[in-house]
Amino acid sequence: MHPQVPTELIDAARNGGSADVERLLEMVWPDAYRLARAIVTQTQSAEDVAQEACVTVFRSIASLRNSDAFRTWFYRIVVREALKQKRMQTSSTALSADAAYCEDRSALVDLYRALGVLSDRQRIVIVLHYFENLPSREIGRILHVPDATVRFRLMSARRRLYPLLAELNPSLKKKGEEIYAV
Amino acid sequence: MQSDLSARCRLARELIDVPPFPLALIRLAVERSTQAPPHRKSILAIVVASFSVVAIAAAAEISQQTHVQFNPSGGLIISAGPKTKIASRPIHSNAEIHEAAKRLDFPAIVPQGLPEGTKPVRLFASGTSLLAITYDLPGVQRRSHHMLWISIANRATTAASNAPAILRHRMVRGVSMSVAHWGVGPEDVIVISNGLTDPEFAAVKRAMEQESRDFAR
Repeated sequence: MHPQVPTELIDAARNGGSADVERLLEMVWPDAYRLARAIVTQTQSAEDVAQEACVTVFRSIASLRNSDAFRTWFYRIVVREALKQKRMQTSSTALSADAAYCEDRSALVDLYRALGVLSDRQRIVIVLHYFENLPSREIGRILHVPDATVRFRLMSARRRLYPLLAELNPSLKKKGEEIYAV
Repeated sequence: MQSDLSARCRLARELIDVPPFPLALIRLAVERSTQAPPHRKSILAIVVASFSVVAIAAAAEISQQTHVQFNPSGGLIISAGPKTKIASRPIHSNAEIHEAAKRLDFPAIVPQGLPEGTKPVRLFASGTSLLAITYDLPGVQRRSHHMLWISIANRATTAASNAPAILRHRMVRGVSMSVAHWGVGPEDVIVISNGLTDPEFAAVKRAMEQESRDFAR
């Protein structure tokens, strides 16, 4: 998490201090929004997702037993809310809206276009691993799946992503490398 | 290639503009959720069951209502009962908006007078009393402020009495963005935009009011 949330603040929030919960949420808001944005791709939907996640944290933080587990727990909530939101939107819309939002940021557009072809499962592991810099073991804990499953999903996602990214930006294509259809 | 993907993702993450922390909205949502605990549904069911068939039908109608609330720090909160049908889909022409407007429970005046080249991109419907259209405004001068949301809603949706007893859907639009709102006949027009200029906004308002007058004749 960027930056790391102080354990004392999580403890204070767990013990029912409303002001502490709000301070904690303010601190994790950028992470919640960025993660949501990378999964759902649309700005407005990402705001809704991050906000819903914050409301859930507000309501349930007292039930969190261990402060060390906050990060995993928090990411799990955001991912769950993002998936809920994704079910309400089609991938084609997400892509077009995203492209419209980021027309002056070609790097983002290319990446999101490529991410758009991935399944939700693949996309989430890619986002958690490459955007949030989480190790596969922690991703496994967030998604309630074994470490090996996360690594397999990462591998299959990369296999689909590389040719697409190279196709969208030919400068990325290495000498002698073939672009194959997915 | 793998390091390139990492670098791209890191860059993409950095490029995401984070909106301001919506503390007021979160407080409001938490307040609402504590006011309507989960067991309320069963209590309501028992109460409703004791009424006649007519009363049950009336209660069902109430739960289907959509409620629109203006957020003090900007934006709009749309809440709906458990039986309200929420639909959201991409659109490509104004004809699709006209088609959807026919299914509304009030004589709707669809948005008009928008700048030349404005493209409708998405349609959102909450039951039969609210239609929200997302437009992509033309012009490079708007940069990232080129999305425009126009909602046309039955005037009853903004009445406090219309708030659903059991909240199922809650959607927040345009947090921290200014909201303009006026009435056209039995319809409420709500515009959320920070990319529409004052003359453009006046043109939209004028065109819709003119259409309303023509409709009344």
